[in-house]
Amino acid sequence: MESHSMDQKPEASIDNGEPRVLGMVAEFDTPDALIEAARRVREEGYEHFDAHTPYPIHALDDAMKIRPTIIPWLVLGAGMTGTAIAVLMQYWTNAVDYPFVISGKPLFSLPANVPIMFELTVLLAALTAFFSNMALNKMGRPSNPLFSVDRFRSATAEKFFLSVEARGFKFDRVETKQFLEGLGAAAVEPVLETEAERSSKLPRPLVTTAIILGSLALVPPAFVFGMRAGTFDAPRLHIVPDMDFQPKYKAQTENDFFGDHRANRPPVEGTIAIGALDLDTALHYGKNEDGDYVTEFPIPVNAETMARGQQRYRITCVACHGESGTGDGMIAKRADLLAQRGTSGMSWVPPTSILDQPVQDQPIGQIFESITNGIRTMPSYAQQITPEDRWAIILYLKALQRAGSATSDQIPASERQRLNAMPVEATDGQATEGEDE
Amino acid sequence: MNQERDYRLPEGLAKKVVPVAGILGIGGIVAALGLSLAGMSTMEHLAHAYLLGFWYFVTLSLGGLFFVLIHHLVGAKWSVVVRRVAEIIVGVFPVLFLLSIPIVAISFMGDSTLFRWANPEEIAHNELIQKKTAYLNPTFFAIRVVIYFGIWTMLATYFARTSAAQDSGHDPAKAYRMRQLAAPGLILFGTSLTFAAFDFVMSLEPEWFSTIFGVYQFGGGALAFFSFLAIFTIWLEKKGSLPTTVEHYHDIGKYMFGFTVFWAYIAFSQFMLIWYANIPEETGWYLHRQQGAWGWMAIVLIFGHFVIPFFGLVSRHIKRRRPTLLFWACWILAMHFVDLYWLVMPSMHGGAHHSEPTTGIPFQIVDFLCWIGFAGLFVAAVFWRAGNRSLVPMNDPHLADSLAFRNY
Repeated sequence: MESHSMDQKPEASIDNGEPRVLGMVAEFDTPDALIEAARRVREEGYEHFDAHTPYPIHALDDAMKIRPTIIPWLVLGAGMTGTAIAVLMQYWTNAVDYPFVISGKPLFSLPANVPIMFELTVLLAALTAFFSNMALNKMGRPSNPLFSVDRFRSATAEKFFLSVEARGFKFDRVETKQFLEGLGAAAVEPVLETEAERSSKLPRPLVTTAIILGSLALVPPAFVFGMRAGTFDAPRLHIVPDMDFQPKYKAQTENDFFGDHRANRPPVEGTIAIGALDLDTALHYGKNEDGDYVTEFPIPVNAETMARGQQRYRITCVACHGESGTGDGMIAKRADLLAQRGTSGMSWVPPTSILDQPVQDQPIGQIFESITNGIRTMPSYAQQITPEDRWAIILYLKALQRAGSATSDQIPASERQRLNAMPVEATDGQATEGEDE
Repeated sequence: MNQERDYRLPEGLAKKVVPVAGILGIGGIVAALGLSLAGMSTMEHLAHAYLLGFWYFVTLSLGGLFFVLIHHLVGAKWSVVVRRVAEIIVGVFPVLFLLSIPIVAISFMGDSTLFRWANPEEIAHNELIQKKTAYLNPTFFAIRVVIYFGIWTMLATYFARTSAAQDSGHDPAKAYRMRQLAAPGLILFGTSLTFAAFDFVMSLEPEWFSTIFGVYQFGGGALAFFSFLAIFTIWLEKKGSLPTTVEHYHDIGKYMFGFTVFWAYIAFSQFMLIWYANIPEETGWYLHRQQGAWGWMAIVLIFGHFVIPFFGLVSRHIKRRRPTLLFWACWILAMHFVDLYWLVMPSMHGGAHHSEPTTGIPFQIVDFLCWIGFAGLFVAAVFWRAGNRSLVPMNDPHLADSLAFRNY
């Protein structure tokens, strides 16, 4: 049952040196006797009394007329406060204070907030239930005057007790004692204030222990502050070294064991990586064995290769050189635009049109060399495109060149008729430039 | 408690209720079939409405099985006085098994009336279903249905029989044995429930998947069971057939409150992961159920299935008064219908992946006729099971504790 305190109010305010009576405690043998006594004590008009039993007895609530607890309301209020705090906090942090789009969701999107709403609701409700229970039951007091009554120890074993506090007008140490005895109590004893309770001084051993423990508690923080403020030559302590220190050399570090002081060992001269053997100079360098540019394709020339070349061209080359190879790719257009606007730090060499006569006249081996090693602002594409694909792209380039310099009589008659029938429009490039302005 | 008293249904009541409820039940389903044949509804709609009514009472009965098993497992004392009622309710599984035959039969028809995975034409151009045909095919489906109902009937029969055998003698070993078997029983229960939920409801949209779906169905089913238990026990007490007190209703009310939150917790857990990941193959299911009439129904579920009953049931004073508890029990049973409607019905006309958002009122008369049909058959089965049996396990070692039970 609830353990209400015997508050330290004396029955009489005169201090005559005797211990003050804080209340009366009556012992009963059976729960029924206790329930009946509790009912009678309440009916008699006592306000400050309590029952103490070894196990919960439901009928006591009714006999003592204990009011319903307000804890449920506190818990409900705290839970809903938690929900509200969670919503407002997440609204403030996500949508106001530091707006940041996550996963393309709206800045304030309720589903993402629900878990926190749930957690804070439960947290505040649970903490409120726990601490309000502690507070309303006056828990946390180290002692209670009732403990000074020897007989009271059996309240946790086999006896049932009723305590009446001395505060309140109804209490009289003689009459109350008689009244309780009249209720069938096996024994009635006064609860006296002990010597320790009368004295306002703390017990000496307690003070000494507190001072020692308090001083010792200052040592670890002092040690930490000292370490943080100072500088040290020795490396920091590794309490758990795990695999932090290993007897090996790391790449790109110095190593005195080798004459060149490098930890990295270069491969043995003449080493060729698997798949990197390039004896076919035409295929890999675009040159014959005399060092002249080749003019014949070292790969099969057919529709399949052409299609492959077109596909590769449109992946890798089209960004700068454009669909038709004239140098009107998206990057080129954008760069031209920025250069026209005078954006600072902007310098730009437009890509060469592959329709230019000098490029048309180049042997295909030279074009291969340009793709492989890069030329002017164009970087090397040897890493991105395999030699076979480079040749396929060149084959497609040749097709583009042929198409770009073709005359109308080279078009098949049926196609020519269809093209003549189409309305004349601005070319693609001009239209796009117009939109850019 | 007066130990000389017997707690049974009033004399001759079962004999009166079983035929009335049974005829009502068969009449409801036949009427739904008749209306559909007469053109007031489609066979597709009827099949879904039938599945809805079927699954409503399967989940409710599974909630009862859970109640029996978990209370044996933890050695609960308060619930002993209402446990026999739960044992009687779970006795309906054989009836539900018979009622599952039309659903299995539809899956063998080879069209998309109910399950698109049963339609060879659908499979032919749906690569996602093709990958799942090893599991989702009519034969294996039929085998699994037999296994599920086998497990449930076996568990229900064992615990009901052993408990009934307790009545005729003082043998505490029986209580101990039931407690031992409740643990493996719960494992069987959880596994079979999960896969049954996958098969009967989740596979209506065979492209979609959610591993938490079984738990979701468990939450809703247990909640529906506790609500039904509250209604049934209050009615039995009024008839003088059960010595329950307000303390027992208080505990059943706590279950209703707890599972209201549990249902919402699981439903939201399923939703949030899919919403956050935003992967089309998962979100389609929810997108379809958030548009048109289904979207309104989803809002009704959030408030009607969680927020409103949460505040309705949170107070102990409501749980400890029979009329208020009855009100919320009926409310939750209605909401369980809405919940399952929202799960099952949007799967019609190709479901999330093929159909257009539904506008207007989706309910049809056959939906309610089917539900009434199943409710009638369910009630008939429960009363047939109850018959003249004792509604209290008279010699259970914890019966006295249960009768004297009080909430703090």
